Amino acid sequence: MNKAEPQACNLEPNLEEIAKNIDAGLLPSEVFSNQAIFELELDRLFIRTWLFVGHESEVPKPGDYVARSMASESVLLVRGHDDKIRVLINTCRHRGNIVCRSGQGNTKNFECSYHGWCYDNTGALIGVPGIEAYGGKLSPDQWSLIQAAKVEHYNGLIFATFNADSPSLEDFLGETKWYLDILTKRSDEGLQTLGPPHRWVIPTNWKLPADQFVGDTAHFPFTHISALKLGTWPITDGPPWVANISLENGHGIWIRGVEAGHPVLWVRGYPDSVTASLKRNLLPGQQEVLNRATSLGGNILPNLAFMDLAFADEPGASSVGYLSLRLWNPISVDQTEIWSWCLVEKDTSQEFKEKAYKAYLRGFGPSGVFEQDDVVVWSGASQTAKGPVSRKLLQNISMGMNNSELDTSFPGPGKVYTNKTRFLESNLRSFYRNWLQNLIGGQ
Amino acid sequence: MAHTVNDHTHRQVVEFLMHEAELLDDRGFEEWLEQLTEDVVYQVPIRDTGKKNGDSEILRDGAWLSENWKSLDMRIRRLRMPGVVAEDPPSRTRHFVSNIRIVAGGNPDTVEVKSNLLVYRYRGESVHYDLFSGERRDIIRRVNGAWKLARRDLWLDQAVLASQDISIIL
Repeated sequence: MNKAEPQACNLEPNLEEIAKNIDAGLLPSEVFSNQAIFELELDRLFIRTWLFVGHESEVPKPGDYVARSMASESVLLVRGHDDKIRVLINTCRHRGNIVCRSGQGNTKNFECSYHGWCYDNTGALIGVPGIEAYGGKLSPDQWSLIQAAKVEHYNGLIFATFNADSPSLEDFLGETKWYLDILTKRSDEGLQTLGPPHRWVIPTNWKLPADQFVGDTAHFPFTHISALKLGTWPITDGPPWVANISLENGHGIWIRGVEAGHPVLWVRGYPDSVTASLKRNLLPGQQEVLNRATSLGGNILPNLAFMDLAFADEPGASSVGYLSLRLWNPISVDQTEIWSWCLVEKDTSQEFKEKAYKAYLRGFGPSGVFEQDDVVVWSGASQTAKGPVSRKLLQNISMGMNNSELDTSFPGPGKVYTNKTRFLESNLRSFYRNWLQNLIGGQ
Repeated sequence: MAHTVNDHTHRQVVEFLMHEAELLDDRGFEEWLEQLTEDVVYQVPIRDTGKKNGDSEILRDGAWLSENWKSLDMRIRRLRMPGVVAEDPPSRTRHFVSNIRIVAGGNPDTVEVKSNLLVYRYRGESVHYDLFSGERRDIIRRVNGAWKLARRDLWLDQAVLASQDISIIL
């Protein structure tokens, strides 16, 4: 498609050398363009770890399904007639055709359009036209749709893995759970998605958006200088405070907010019911974090990011809080499909939900004034990483390495890095160290 | 019952759509805004792929864009700002509006127009370009003698957008 642009290289990467560089705060550009590294990521990271597939509110009734991707595998997230949620690989066991071509729906059965093999909504093979031709040797229970090895959820966020030997989802999330609770337990009724996810394909290696979301608080006043002037970003009192919180397994959280003692919960515009339930459901330390964070985001290694934001839907209007989940689905070394969801607490008014969705839409998603600018810089870095000279260059991810302090008074878990300049890349280093451990350790 | 409009109105509506496309291609965004009613509704719903064809594919609860006059004004002000990364250098666009079908309502000052839209967008020095294809369903209203866009529903054909952003006005 882009024939005038340089193509990806396919050189054997020296993982030990990359590891040394990361420890020194340096990152070779080839991690974004080397085809061999991309193949290692699929084999040693994506198909071995937990991947996000959807939110439980997307499949509320038996028979509901949505089509999803786990790396480049097409899967179906289905609530079966038995009310159990499964993740089925969308590949017919007979000759490999795609079983279901629609994006969402409700069904009792999935019937393959090639030779009519029919599976029920639990994945069981229930119909084989011409089964007599197998002379009684075809046992349907051996030919059900393949399921993900494990499907588990955390407060409604559904993850799946192809790896039967993986740790539990809770162990994988580890310290991150404490922060996810802040985002998912504010309401007794939980969250709901608003609309289907936005899906679009960008010419970017998947790690560029992932590393920005894990902790790049420094790009904000530069990449987003125009969007910040539009009057939709809530203005808060109190001394600014920014943190990078490095968590187990390469996950990370960033917070842009204020010092303690200048509560900013009001920016989220919650109804009284949510304000009351979050006081019941969250620990005092979690409430303190919510009260200090005008925005909070992060990335769960490898490719699920989240942002808890408060924006106005129009210039000068009051702001409302919403959660966006985003998946950086790797298509190829330089193509990523973004899936982006907007979620709000179920027990908010219809008016709140509409305002939140518009605030999200005007800031994020392909038409969002923040996201548009992000994609340009990710794509730019992905393109230069293919240059025969640039791909060997070492990028600098050492911001804050020699000038940050650990905030030991912070109530949450993890290594909480902060500094007066508010420019930090601590989480990027942690993300890449863990990413690389997966590639090396998976040999 | 809906009926076709007279030739004079038909010509005015076609000219309105052509003028609007010219303003967008020439980056006359502020003048374009003046072609909208103050209570304009501008919707680009998400089209998902269901099992059945037709209307059911339009998901009313999700949108690529859901705008009013104020939010369109906000987007246009941004396009003029320094530091608007996505539109620096600015996109070149070509709005092709065709297959115009006009249906009058009961009110002589309001017409419903369906048309096909193809927008070509080129940016920077790439060999890559974007195409946005869809059906527009517009309501055009005469305000103080001038036709203005009161409502636009644009049904894009793509379920997964092949473009890295929608930084232009479709």
